[in-house]
Amino acid sequence: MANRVRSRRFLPPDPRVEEPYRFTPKLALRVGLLGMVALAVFATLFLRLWSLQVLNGQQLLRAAQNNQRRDIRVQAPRGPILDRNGQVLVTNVPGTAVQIWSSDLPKRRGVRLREIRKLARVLDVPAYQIGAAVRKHRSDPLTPVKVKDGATQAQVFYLKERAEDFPGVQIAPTYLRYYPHKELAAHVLGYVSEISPGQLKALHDQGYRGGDTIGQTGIESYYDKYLRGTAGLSQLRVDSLGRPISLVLPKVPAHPGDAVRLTLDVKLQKAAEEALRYGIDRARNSGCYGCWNANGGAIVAIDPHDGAVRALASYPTYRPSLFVGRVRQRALDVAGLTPRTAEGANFPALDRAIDGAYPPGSTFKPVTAIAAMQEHILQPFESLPCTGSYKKNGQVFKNWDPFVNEAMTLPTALAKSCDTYFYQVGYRFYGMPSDRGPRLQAWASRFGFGQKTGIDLGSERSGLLPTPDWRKKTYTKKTDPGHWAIDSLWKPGDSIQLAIGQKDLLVTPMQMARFYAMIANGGKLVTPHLLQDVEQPSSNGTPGRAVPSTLPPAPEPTNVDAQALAVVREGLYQATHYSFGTSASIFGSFPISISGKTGTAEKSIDPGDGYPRLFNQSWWCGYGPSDSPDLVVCALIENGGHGGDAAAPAALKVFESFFGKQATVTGPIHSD
Amino acid sequence: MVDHYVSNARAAARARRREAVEVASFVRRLDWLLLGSVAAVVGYGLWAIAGITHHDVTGNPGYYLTRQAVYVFIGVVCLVVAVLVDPELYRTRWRWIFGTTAFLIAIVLLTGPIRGSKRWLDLGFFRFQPSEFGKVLFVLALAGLVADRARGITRVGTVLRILGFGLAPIFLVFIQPDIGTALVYGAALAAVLFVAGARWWHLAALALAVVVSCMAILWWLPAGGMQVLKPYQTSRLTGFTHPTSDA
Repeated sequence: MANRVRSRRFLPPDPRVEEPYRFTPKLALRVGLLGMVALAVFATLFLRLWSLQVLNGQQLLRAAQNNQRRDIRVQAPRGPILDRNGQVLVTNVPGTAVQIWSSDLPKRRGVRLREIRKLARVLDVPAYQIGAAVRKHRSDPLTPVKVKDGATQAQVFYLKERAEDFPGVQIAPTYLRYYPHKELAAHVLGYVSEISPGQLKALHDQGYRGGDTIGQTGIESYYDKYLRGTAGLSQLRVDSLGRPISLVLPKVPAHPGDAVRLTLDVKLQKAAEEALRYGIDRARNSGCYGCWNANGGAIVAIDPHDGAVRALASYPTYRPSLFVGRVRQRALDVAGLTPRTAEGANFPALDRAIDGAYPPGSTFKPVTAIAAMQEHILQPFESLPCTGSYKKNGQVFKNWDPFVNEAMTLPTALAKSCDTYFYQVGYRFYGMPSDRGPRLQAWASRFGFGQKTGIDLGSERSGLLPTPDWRKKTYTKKTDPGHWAIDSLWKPGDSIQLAIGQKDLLVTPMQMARFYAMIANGGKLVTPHLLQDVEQPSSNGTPGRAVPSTLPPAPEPTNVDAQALAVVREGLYQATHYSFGTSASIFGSFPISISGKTGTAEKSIDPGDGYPRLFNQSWWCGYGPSDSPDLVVCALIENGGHGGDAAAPAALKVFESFFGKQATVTGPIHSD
Repeated sequence: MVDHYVSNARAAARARRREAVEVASFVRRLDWLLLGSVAAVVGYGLWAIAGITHHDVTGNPGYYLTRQAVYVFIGVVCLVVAVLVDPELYRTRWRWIFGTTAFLIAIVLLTGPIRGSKRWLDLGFFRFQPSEFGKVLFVLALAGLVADRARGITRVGTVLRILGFGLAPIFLVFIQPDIGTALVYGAALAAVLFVAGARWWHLAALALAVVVSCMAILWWLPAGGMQVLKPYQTSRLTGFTHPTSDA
């Protein structure tokens, strides 16, 4: 019995252990110590608990209660975009959004799916899209998931009447972008959509949050900081899992965005867009070679005094309203606004006025003329032979008119757009000592070519101003293994062709308009801009007022000799007035005197059959009235044939609208 | 016949008496203080849950309370089973216990991560965390190991062997990552070594090593540009020094 008791009090004997594991004094000491350590630890914890609960209890309770109130953003109505006369280009219409609080959806999967399917049927939104949107926002129970932006009244009534069938579904007022003029000025205005994850990451510091609406292109994007307004704040009590347990309580009202007034003129913009379509149609109907492929273009109209853009048209275009509300992928596909379909629709989202680069052809000749006079390699009234072709180093450069053979001065050469005259000038540039760099390019660069114009419109192309250095860098053993040794050299032909705006040179219509504005205003290079001012809308009590905004840089002097400019202006005047001028038949009878230059630039284009060949790009750039210009117009019709065929008549339409006068009958066209 | 019957009856009565004595002594030997504290904690838990979750599920105020009560019932059944198992079994079969625990913790690492760490085994109807069961099994296995080698506990070799057995599961839990459970394992290992009677200076050296490696992991290595722990883990370990921050 004693043995038995002992074996219960101590560990049982084990053959491998020599002595049973006794509760020795040593062990007792250790267990005692361990107990004391445990006691000390728990005593500390208890004291800490007491200090938190009793000593600081009140203070921490307050902190915890604050933590239970969560902030919700209230989107501000976006500011409108106006034209220079206050006509509305873009504004908002109130809409009704259907949202889901994902945390209030039924917990059971089957019930939840049934609700989503039912909602999908009511709203005519695919159920998988709702599911995907809910899944995307699962980690953020405090931002409602937008299901549909512009719900109809019938849908709203249906959902409200059956609210208990749709737990977690909320009807909220919202603002939708509205375009009263449809696709008018789409490339200028741009479109808005919900902020993308990438933009959110980049712009989080500037106060953008998930679910915000942000301008994606054009003015909507460039002046988003003015248009977006300031989001308001509402508060919501939530439990520890972030589930709302109260109604939304407004705290800080949202401040509507400011109105952005543009320099654009709705009337002129309409005229420019119509003129562009007219020019394209005219080219298509003219039967000229390649004109069947006339399918795009741009017209720019700017104020030569300060660079204010009066009209900016690009074709083909699109309706920005396609991005309003729930965006339908198929609608974007059809409109050519997705990467997959853009090429087939000839890139309607591309703003050709600032983001399309074309060889300028003869519209570039005034640049050559001014540069040559400034460099003293050409006297304004020096007579040079204009012939049907020009031979240099065994290479033949043709004139657009093969039957001409006379000597002429610079103004006449400009008016008749004599290529061979300018070939000789180009060759003189080639012969200049190279220690001061390529002079023609230096002047072209001073006039803004090869660089962005700085227009406040975002994505802009700088074009290409070819130089000997550019050739050396572009054509290397690696990029051009067959012919790099020859191609990397700047040859006489490069200078000769550059003189008439051909070969590698690429410009945007806006760069061209800027250059003609410089001729028109007497030598100042303007920065084209669209912003007139920013206005805070008047709201209850506070009157509207102008908001300080960054103004475009002032026109910069180019220090061009006034006499040289006068010679070029004389040439441009003759081109539209003298019987031999290239666009005299179009502008000659217009009551207001217009000066300008045609251009026909060859560009290698694949019309879609896999065989790229040279197509004529139709250009016209000029200004009016000739003696004190108020408007510069630059028109470009892709594959539009000669400058006088399509671009010049289109530009005339813009002048007609601007001056409110009609041109009379136009005679036969003889132009490059 | 009768005699035989009587003796049979007596034997049965004796057996019953012995049984009654054994049950009584078993009941007396139970650690009532421990059981009482467990019952008190469980009861407090039920009361607190009933109060907190009363409004959580509309139409069913007792939803979480009944749930917890079911868990308590399952726990009591497990407790009875555990009490009835002869402790001898743990001592003789510690290798099995150790092996199974380590195996379960190891295969968790092969599963997909849930909320960023690989701790759970999904059995379809039930998801469980082997390292939680491991807390008990780990101590049992270590105790078995130490009991086997009680004589040699004063030797460095034995201490190192116990450390080796103990650190393997600690490492497996640490890389799940579940630093909290790893610390619990570490504390258990230290307590086992201490009670088993390791030499004082062995324990002191071990404590020094632990302090040095803690300093290294928390401050010295990050200062030298090498992050052992993730920032949130570091802030959990140092967070007690500033309780009002919500890190």
